This record gives sequence, structure tokens and C-alpha cells, in this order.
Amino acid sequence: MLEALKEIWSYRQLLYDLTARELKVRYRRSFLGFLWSLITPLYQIVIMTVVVKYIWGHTEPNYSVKFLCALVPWALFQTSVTGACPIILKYRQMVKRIWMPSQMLPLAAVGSNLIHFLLSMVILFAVFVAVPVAFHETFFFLIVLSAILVVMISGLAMLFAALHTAYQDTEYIITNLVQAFYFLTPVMYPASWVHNEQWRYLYLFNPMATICEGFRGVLMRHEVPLPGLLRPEQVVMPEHLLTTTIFALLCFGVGLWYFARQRWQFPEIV
Amino acid sequence: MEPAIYVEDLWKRYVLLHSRPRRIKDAVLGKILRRHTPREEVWAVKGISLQVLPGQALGMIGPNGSGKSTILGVLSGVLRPTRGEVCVRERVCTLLEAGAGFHPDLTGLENIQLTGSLLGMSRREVTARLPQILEFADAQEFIDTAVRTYSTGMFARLAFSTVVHMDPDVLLLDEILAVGDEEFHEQCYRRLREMRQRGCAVIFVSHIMEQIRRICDSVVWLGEGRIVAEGPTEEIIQRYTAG
Repeated sequence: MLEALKEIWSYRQLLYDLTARELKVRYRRSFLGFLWSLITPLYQIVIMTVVVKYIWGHTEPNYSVKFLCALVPWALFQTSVTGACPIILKYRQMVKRIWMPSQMLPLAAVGSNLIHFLLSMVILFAVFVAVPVAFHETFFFLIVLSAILVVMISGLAMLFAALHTAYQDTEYIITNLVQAFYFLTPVMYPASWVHNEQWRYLYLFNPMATICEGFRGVLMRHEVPLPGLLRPEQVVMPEHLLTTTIFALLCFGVGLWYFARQRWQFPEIV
Repeated sequence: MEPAIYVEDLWKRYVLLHSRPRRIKDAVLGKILRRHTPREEVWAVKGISLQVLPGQALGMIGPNGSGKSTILGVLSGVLRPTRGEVCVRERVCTLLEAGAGFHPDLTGLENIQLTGSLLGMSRREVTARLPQILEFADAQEFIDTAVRTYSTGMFARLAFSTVVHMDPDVLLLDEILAVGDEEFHEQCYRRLREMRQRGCAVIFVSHIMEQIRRICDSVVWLGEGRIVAEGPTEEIIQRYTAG
């Protein structure tokens, strides 16, 4: 395990290069490319706001902003996990012919989405300035939540990339699972919409629910799930955060291990 | 002297792709229904032993499918040997016919940087070598255009120049001089001589005997995954071309 981490560290320049390459393809070397990529989330928010406010007649205050808060981390999760699946096949010309530490490929997929996530966070804060919401010191807790999220998706990215290279229906299965979890996670609705309080408590043990509602909690309610900092109407609890952190580390360990076990056969099967 | 490349009784088996489960569905169903699809296998290399000392150049000749590329794959670390011992000195550079590792959509400069990163070099180390690489390849003007727009000759020049300037201990070359003009070939021969004087071991695969003569001091002749003959270049080439 330590060996594997050391290898990743010694090839950090490669990780940087591959991430830059992924971003260049995505944004076609222009900042306008980044703005284009905001269209999908933007129209999602507009449509859902119309549906919730005018079709369902729901009177959730600041619905669009609440959606946006959770959509930013969710988008990082979704694009990284589904984007990592075909990445070894995408680079087959290299993987087949020259030696390379191929775990860097799924990690670069995460890296490029992470840059996109950071740019989206800038937009998110811009919205908050416009709304206007004062900056609050609890916002720093977003760094902790983001770090947990990155560890989790890095592990999943390696796991799914290795699986997809051997079994080419992985991507379809993962895409459908992610879609199912999109509805089971408080992304387009806040966790307060889960009416039964006991159910809601259990529901938040879904790691992505902890992360997404965690983002929303910090930004909308200045709520930090750490013992001693709890607020009276706290939604995400320290035990949710703890299990999610353990899950993230587990994902990373399993991903690293499974990828290392499988990668020698990639040049022969891509 | 300790050899730069040491291979003892190397065997390499491929499992044919169509005989292994390619979907999770098939793998799971196969387990549940206990369907045993026999794996079809091919032995590409059957018990090869060879040694190359630092500064030596070994030629590999043989018909297509005789195992040359598989051996290079194992030596470069891409393929895992099924059986046998393989020991290769650190910093192996591989150059395959199409300049593999070069990405068509990246510019010349980005490709050079990527090659360096793949060898675990820092950006500073690569930048320090850049002037020599460009001078050798005579590519200063093309450096910021995507390599897919390069002519075949230009591409080969830059690919060759990049790997030979990365200070390799072992250089694996597969059909690299099939393109390019006489002048470029002469330039390559000169450069390879210099590298060998500095202790770089070379394995050179080619179908063109004249190039083998110019570069190698000994040759192995492969056929169907086995060594047919090995020895001094001229002797082996004469036997190979005669029969």
C-alpha cells in the first residue's frame, strides 16, 4: 500500500500532464469552453425550479440555491466515476505499447474534474455574493468535505477503470447505479423533504447524502457535523461524517489494491 | 561486467481475447451456470535466454510472429513474463515504429514533456534537455504544432531524438528506421554509436539487413518463439538470407 502511494507521488508530474491534457480536450483550450460546460447544470436548475415552484407548488425558500449547493459536489462525483470507466481504453495506444503507471489515468480523470469543481465553486460563491449571504467561518469546513469526496472518488475511479477494462459492460452498470443514487441522494431536493425523522437519519448514512447535504448544511445553515459544534436543528450528524470518512478510505484502499492487481494484464486486453 | 539486459528461459503465453469473459454478465453467469469455456492460449515466446552487456548492440531478426515484439514488450515492462527471469537496468526507453507514446493531438513540446513524465522526470530535467532534442531533430519551428500534422519523417526524427536524449541505460528500437531519408539514418547511426560508447545497451529489431549490419555487433535469429541461431552479425545474416 505504501509502495503504491510512493509510486503515485513519484509520478506526480505525469499526473499533472495527463490532467492538463484531459482539460484541454474538454475546454478546447478556451475559457469559453468552461462556460459552455455550465449549460447542463444551469438548465437542470432552471427546469427543476420551474417544476418545484410552479408545477408542484412547493414553497421551499431559495430552492435553486439549495439545489446548486449540492449539485456542485454531485457533479464532481458523477463525472469522475463515469468518466474514469473508459479511460484506459481511451489511452490504449499508450498502455499497449509503452510502460506507464496506468493508475495515473483514472486519477487524471478525477484531477480534471476536480479543476472543474474548483471553478464551479467560484461560481457558487459568486451566487452567494449576489444573493447576498455573508461569508461565514464554517465555510472552511467545505475543504474537509471536498477532501473526503476526492479520496472516495479516486478509489472508485481506479476500481471502475480496472473493472471496465476487463469487463466492458461496467460503464453501463455504473451509469445506471449513479442515476439511481442521484434520486436517493439529497441533490435536487434538501434532506428535510424526507419527512420521517428516523428514516432521514438512516438515509443520511449514504456517503453521497452526507457529502451533498453536508455542503448544503454548511452553506445554507452554517452547520458543521462535528461534536461540540452541533446546532439545535442539525441534519448531518458526526456519525454520518465518520462512516463516510471510513467509507472513503475503504474505497481508496480497495481501488488501489484492485487496480494494482489487474493492471499487468491491461496491455494484453485493451 | 554485469549485463544491462539479462533474460533467462523466458516464456510468454497469451490468452486469446475471444475466449475470456468480456462482460460482467458473462463472468457472473459463467460462474453460476458453471459453464467452462476452455481458454485458448498461444505461446508467443518459448524459452528464450539472452544477455546484452552495457555498450553492446544486439540485433533481432526473424519473420513476423516469431516473438520479437513480445520480447521487447517484456523487456520494456509492458508485458509480464509467464515464466522465466528478466532483469533490465533502470531507465529503459522504447521506440516503436509509430513513435508510440506520442499522442497525435499534442504538440511536439507537450509530447516531449509527456515522454519525460512517463520516465518519472521532473519538468526541470526535461527542459534542460530540450535544446539538444530540438537541435538533433531540427524541429524548432514545429514545436508548437500538433504532431499529427507532421510528416512521417519529421515525426520519426522527433520521436528518436526525444528518447535518445533521456539518458537511457537500455534502448529498445523496433523498426524505427523504416522511414526517413539517408541523412537521418546516418545521423541515427552516429548517435547510437555515441550512446553505446557511454554504456547504453541497444536491442534493434529490423527486417532491413543493411541497418542491422550498420548497428549491431551480434544478432539473434528468432523463429516461432525460439532462438534459431545466434552469433556475430555477418554470419547470422548470411545464414538467415540464405535459408
